[in-house]
This record gives sequence, C-alpha cells and structure tokens, in this order.
Amino acid sequence: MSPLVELESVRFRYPGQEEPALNDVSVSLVRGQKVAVMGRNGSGKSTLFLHCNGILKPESGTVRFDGHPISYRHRSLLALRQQVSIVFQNPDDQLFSASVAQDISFGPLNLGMTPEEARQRVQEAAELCGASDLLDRPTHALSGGEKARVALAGVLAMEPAIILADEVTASLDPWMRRQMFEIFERLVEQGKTVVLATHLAEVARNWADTLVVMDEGKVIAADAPGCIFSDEALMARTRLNEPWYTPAASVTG
Amino acid sequence: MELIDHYAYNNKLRAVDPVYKAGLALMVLALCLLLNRPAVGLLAVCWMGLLSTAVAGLPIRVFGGVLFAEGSFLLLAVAGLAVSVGVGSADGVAGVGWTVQLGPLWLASSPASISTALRAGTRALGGAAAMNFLALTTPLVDLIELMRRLRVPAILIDIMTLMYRNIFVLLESLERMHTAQDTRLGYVNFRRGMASAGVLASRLFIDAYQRGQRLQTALSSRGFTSDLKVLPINYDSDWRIIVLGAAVAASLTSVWVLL
Repeated sequence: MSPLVELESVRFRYPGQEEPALNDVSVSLVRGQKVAVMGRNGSGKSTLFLHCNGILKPESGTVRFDGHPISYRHRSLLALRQQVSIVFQNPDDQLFSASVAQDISFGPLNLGMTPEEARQRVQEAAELCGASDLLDRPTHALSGGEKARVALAGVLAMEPAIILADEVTASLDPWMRRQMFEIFERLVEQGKTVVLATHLAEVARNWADTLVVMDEGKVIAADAPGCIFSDEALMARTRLNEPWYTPAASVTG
Repeated sequence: MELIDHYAYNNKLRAVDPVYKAGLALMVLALCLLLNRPAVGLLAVCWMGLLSTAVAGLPIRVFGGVLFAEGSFLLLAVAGLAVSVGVGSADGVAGVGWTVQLGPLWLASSPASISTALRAGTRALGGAAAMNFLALTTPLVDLIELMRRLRVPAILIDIMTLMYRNIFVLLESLERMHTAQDTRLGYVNFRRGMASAGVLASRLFIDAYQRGQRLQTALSSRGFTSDLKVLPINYDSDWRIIVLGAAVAASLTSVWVLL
C-alpha cells in the first residue's frame, strides 16, 4: 500500500513560540486506511493536519501528496485541498452560511463546478451524512450533532481522497458518534482514507488500522493499535489508557 | 430577534421567491410615503396584517406584538409633533388651540399639530407594517440572495453572510459566558455585575477574533479564494402575491383619491 500523504522530517513553529509545534515529524498516511491519531492536548495533532493540506508550511522538511512534494503555489494548493479535506473540531468554526445547502455548496463551487454539478454534489453529500432533511433549515437552528454532520457533508461534497477529522466525535452523544463512524465506514469502503484525531482509546483500538501517537510535537509511534497498546514503556510514557473492556486483545497485533 | 428569525423560517410564504415579498413590501412602503393621508397608513396596516396572518399564517399575536412595540416608540415620537412644551407662562403662546399650564411649564396643542402628528404616525406605522411583513416572512438568507441577484457587490454580500451567521455564534458564546459568570455569582450585585459585564465584553472581542481566524483556516481548507461562492436558492413563484399586491395598490390609491 502506497502512502497517500507523507510527512518527512517536518519542523514547524508557530510565530512567537519558542518550542516547535512539530519537531522532526515523519509519518505516512496510507491510502484506504483508517488512521487514528492520539496524543495529549497540544501535542501537535491539529498542526499535523494543517500541514497535510498546505494551510501551514513547514520550516523544514517535506510534505508529499501521492508521492510528490506539495507545491505552495495558489493553484496547486486548490488542487491539493480538493483531495485533502479537514473537518474541524467545532462545526461553528466551519459553517459560515446560515443556509445549510449554501454552506455545503461552497467547496464544490470553489472547484469551479457548474451550479447543476454542485447541486448534485450537495444532494449526494447530504444523503451520505444523513443531512438531506437539514438542507432547508437555518444553520443556527441545528443541534450540535446536526452541525457536525453538515460540516462533514460540506467537506465530502468536494469528494476528497483523504478526510482528516479533528476530534469531530468528541462532543457527540454515543448514538451520534456511532452514526459518524458509520459514515466513516462508508467512506473507507469507497476507497477513501479517513484520519481521526481522538482521545478515545477504544476508538483507536477497535476502529483504526493504524494508530499514530504524538507527544510534544513528535510522532513517537505509528503502528497497528494492538502493537502500540501492548508496548508497556510507551503506555507508561503517554498514559493513553488501556481500553478497559477488551484486556485480552492487548496482546494481538 | 430570535422570534422574528423563527417565524421568518416557519411561515407559509417561506418558499416564495423573495422578489415577490420584497417587491410588495417596498411598494406599500413607497405608497405610504407618497400618499400622505392617515387612512392610507391605517389601511396599509390592515392589509399587511391580513397578508401576514391569513396568507403567511403567522399568529396574529406575533404580527400585532411586533407592531405594538414599534407603535409605542412611534407614539413617543409623534407626541412631540402634537404637543409643544415650554417654560414660563402660557399666555404668550399664540395661535388657535389649547394650552395647559402645569406649574412652571405649559403644554400647547392645536388641530393642525394633531393632524400633522396623525399623518406622520399613520404613515410611519403603515411603512413599519410593510417592513414587518417582509421581516416576518423572509429570512435574511433570502434577502441576501435577492441582493446577490440584484448584483450587489460580492464583498457586501459576503460581509452580510458572515455577519448574520456570526450573530448567532457570538450570541451563543455570550450566553455561555454569561451563564458561567452567573453561576459563580458574577452578577450578585450591581458593582460585581458591571465588572463581570466588562470582562465579558472584552472576552467576547477576543473570542470573535479567534473565531475569525479559525473560520479563515476552515474556509481556506475548502478552497476559498476571493469570494464566498454558494449555490443560488430555488424558490416558488406565487401569483397570489402579485394579485394581492395589485389589490393593495389599488385600494391605497383609491382611499387617497376618495378621502
């Protein structure tokens, strides 16, 4: 399996910060995989995501998409962002329009689609995310879970190859969270790559093909979840809790 | 504001093309301004009430409530037209009319000034009713869409889109922060209340700024370039509005001619 997005020795510091937010990060996000990214708050998960679609540019190191180093020219970035999508943690940071349908149509129209094509994309994405009956509702009248689905639909309407979801399930109730994972499952079936930043060990263990562990701006492990959770030294260091309900599974890889 | 927004999204004219509703409302507003007779304004209020309740299906209490609130302000404004106030003795006040001496003050009024007040008041009330009809049946999203069709510059459209959305986002922040302060007795007395409100206001500025930055990132991720491109909304056309509009125009004009 070839890597879809690849970071090599990436270093990045936010303006005015002494400590690098990413410190020599190398990681491969493999095509068609379900990837969980874990790490404490401030460990660099969001910063990692923002490098994948060229929002942030590394101080040093390389970001590759589909084997080619990404270019930070305007046109190339647009093409990249069609392929690499980020769903942000707080849907209110992403939904800019009071009209749900108009918000979802934003991405497709930015790709230069005709209104007819865009309308088609809006319908498909809304259906996939179970948001078809929300299209005529005002954004501010939606619940948190509904907003999360609309935000996801807005990203999926661009038909990206990889979806980076930044703790989108964190504030959802168990039922909504489950629906979210069903959507992720369908995306993976379509051959897309789904990367999810999460604090839930059970998600990492039961859902992910690969688990990337970050700590203080570094990727300290990237492997099958079973291997990582059975690495006692790593567990002691990161304090990612052992999933409590499947202790026997911790030895399988 | 949330009440108006709620009805704007939940009325029977919601799906009707905003061009009909805005056209009707602006026509009534123009007629109220042009045909300067109290009866025209009052008739306009009745028409708009009828359209809002019978056609758009809004509760009469809502239309009446909003109009009553505006009417109260209006009453204060036209009271100044109807009644003059002065200091000293009322003896020197010339002209036909009535004067009342209230201690060191005098109040004076006349048929002419009352007529002026009545004209201004009914005219304004009619215009207000027309605007209420529009506001209560048409969400801002549709009005923005209408302006887009009328080729209002994209930059203004985008600013309106973002402002309208962020009103609700910031309102939510405001409520959350206020509740958080209140639970820690931030509004226990006037002094603490003023201090808390100050902190809240400054915190809200920072919040808005940070939100703006995160929104910028999110929009860039979705391929934002120079303007916020969105799909046009499909609306229904409604011939009833045209017919009713013609009837309204005809009746307002005839009232003006006849009375």
